[in-house]
Amino acid sequence: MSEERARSVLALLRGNRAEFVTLVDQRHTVADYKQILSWCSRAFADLAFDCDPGPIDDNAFTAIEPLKRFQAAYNENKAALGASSQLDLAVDGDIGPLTWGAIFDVYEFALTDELGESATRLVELRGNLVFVDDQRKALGFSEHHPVDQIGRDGVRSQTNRRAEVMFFEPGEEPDLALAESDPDISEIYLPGAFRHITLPPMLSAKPWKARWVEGNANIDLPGRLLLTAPGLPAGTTVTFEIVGTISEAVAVRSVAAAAGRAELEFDEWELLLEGVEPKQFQAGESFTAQRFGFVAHAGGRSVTANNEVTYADRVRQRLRFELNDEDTVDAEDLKYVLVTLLGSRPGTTREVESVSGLLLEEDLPPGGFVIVVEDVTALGGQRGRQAI
Amino acid sequence: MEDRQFSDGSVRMIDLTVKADGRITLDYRLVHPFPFVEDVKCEVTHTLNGRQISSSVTKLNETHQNPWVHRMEQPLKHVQGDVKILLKIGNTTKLEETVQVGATAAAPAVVALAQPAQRLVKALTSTPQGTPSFQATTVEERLPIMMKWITDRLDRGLLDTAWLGSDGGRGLDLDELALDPTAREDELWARRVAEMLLSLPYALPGTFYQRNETAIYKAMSERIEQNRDTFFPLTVQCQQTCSLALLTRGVPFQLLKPGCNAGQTEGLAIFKQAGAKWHKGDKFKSAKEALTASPPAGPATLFEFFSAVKGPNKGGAHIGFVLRTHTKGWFGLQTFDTGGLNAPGRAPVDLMQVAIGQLGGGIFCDPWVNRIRGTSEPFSGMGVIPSSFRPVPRLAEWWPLGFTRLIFRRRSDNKRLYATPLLWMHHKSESYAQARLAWSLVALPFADEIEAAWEIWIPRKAFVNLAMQAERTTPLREILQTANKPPDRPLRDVTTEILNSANVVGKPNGKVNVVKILSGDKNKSDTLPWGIRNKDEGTPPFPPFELVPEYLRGDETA
Repeated sequence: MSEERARSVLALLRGNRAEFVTLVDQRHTVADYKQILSWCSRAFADLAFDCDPGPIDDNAFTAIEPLKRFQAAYNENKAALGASSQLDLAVDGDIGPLTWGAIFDVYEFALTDELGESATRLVELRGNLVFVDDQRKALGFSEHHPVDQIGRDGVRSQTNRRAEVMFFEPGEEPDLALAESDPDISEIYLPGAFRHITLPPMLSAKPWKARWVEGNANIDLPGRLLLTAPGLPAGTTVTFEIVGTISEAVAVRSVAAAAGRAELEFDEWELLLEGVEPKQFQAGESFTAQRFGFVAHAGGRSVTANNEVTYADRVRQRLRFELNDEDTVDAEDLKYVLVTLLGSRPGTTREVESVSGLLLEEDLPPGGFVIVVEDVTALGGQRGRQAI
Repeated sequence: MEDRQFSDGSVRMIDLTVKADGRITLDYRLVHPFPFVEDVKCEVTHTLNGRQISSSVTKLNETHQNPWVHRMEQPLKHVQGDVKILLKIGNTTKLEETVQVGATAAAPAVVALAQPAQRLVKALTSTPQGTPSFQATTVEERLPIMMKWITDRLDRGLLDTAWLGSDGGRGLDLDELALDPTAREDELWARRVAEMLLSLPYALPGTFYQRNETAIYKAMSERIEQNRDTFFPLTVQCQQTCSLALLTRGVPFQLLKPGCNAGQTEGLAIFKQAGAKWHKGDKFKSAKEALTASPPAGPATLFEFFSAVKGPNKGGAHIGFVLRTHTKGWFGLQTFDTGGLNAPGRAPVDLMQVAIGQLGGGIFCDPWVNRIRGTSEPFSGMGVIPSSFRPVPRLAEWWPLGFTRLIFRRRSDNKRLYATPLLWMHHKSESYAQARLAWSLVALPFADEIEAAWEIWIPRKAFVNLAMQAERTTPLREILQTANKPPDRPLRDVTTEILNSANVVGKPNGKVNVVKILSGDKNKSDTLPWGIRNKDEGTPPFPPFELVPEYLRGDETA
């Protein structure tokens, strides 16, 4: 029986209507479809399925009217459900292959709605499914490896009546042939081989996207991180992990989401250069381009930004020496050393368009800089030396 | 052992350096007159945008060759932000300072970097002082301490002490400036000349020494040519400062005579020599033009202003000389002046009263300028001597043509506690210019209760001739007695042969003041007080003779 249960879930997972109908039509209880009708009556905001059966039990009589209302609602909502090609159901309160097929259609619609995808896209996604063993996509186990009242026979347990969708890392796949032939000794449920981690339910399975709003950042333009997250409730904590390309340093910042989105401004780039060994660059040599990415975590999901931001500062300053209360002179052809978190680079002030004493620097990394010249060390606010 | 402590806030000098590997280092220099400082540590906390990004504790690194400078090096993790420095001796915080480091790319479009010139007139009072807590309560205990302080300072000199100040000194001694040999020689010259002439009274030496200037230059020059140490006068006007500058650069008397004037100096033979030139035209008042002229301005280049109608030394006529030049990255001139070149920002100075806009407005080194202002008289030219004229040997031994006495008075009742006899202004190989006397009194222990002052006296008439010819080791008593006529006249009656030109007076706050005494009346007679100590002056009861440093004993013997 557990194998049939697994196969019915597999049929839903793969979108196999006929398989699903065959399996569930041949083995089900009244409580089973009462459970479905109950879910169906609450599942959709935009579609009316007034088919709540009340208490979930095996009383077939009390299921007739709810079932009729389901059948009528299905007929009415076929187009919305994407099931226009299906025949109308007879509204007779009786369950059979056609009604089970309709239930499959409702499941299918719910699945596309939950994923935020179209039916076509759902087909594509299903095409990405990779099974451990194509010959053994579903196996029955619960009789051999119950989780409730282990060791007792003949136990009727709701907990044990379960279907588990298991994910395995590549290279760690179990021997499903053995599991099929001798479930009792399969390593899947025996201690020692696998650790079972229950994936937390996601707040939303709809497609989320993370990206830098602008591809560039500098001292005047902070990085803007954006998570577009349909289904993400307002107030949910979203954690952004920002990483650079030349350091292993990570900056972690959290914000409270707005409904369906979260945004963060970030300007502490220098944190991401922690541990970088400064080096000496040659005159005219470019500093290593600073690119940054991020991963957003929220609602049990992690989304990696689909682009990077490149940080580069540009400095254009006219340097003058203040000789006394009145006299200043432009720093013409002044040799200096530019010091940044990535290292130092020599330079010379220039004359551009009749403006002399210009300090022109491009591609500066974050974290500021110091200009050191032979006779004067540029130092902020101390002993007459000033920051530049 | 003395209790050596910093005065709070008295020691600070911060610089940033870049190591060969590109790391930026906070170079924290403690400028302090004591070589032994115990248990000193520096706590450095770096914050950026209000967030602490690093902290460290560094112990004093006593490797610096100059015992006045103690260094701590602290590599910085970031090149921007606020660096808070706590200097502690033991567990006591002695100094707390926050330095803003670096800048962001959002810094302003035009940045002016203050470029203070090295100015002895500022450095004398701005170099961190630091006075130890001497344990002495009685005058008998204090005077020997004060005397030792003073004579230690006199003998150590200014080169690696007073010049360390924040006005261009940056706590760097001469060796750390990493100058090429020529530049180093010129820097040494600039320092020596500034030391010699700083704060002298603005007065004609011919009038007050009663010996004309040309004769003085001749006597000076002869001693130079004989490879002897020579002297320099203790009163000058602008033209004498320039003549002395040329003499210090090795210009011989025959090329200098009759000496510079504020007008027609271009006629001196030195400016007819190959490699020399008297540049004419207002454009040479520009530092850039002056420094790119052929030949270019350099040390001891003269700038002269005078009216041909009024004549030399008349009206607003003036002349001054160049002390330092700057050509790397920017063009600037630093002049040594008596005030007429009107360099902006030359005042205020702590050391003396300065009359701005006047020719005798104070004799000292100016800030950098990018153009020479001068007086209202026409600019008559820029005189450049041949670059082959270099600073003379033995310049450090040139001694002031004058004498001094050190006087201690109790401030509360102005009672004289002790006075030395009249002293030469040199001792052994060291020479004590007025600037050095001033430095000896800076941050003097117990200055709040006891005033120390140097009285400076210049010889006149026959006395000056003997002084100009004296050997360095000639006892002062000997020439005084020779000059005294009749020789058996009591020394206390010697009057017109000596004149009080200036006093260098220690102030209660540890600073110092130079006071001009000369009345300007050439016929004024001064009584020689206590020339060679007379019996009727009485011998001060303290300190015991053996505790008086050798220099301060003069000719006295126990």
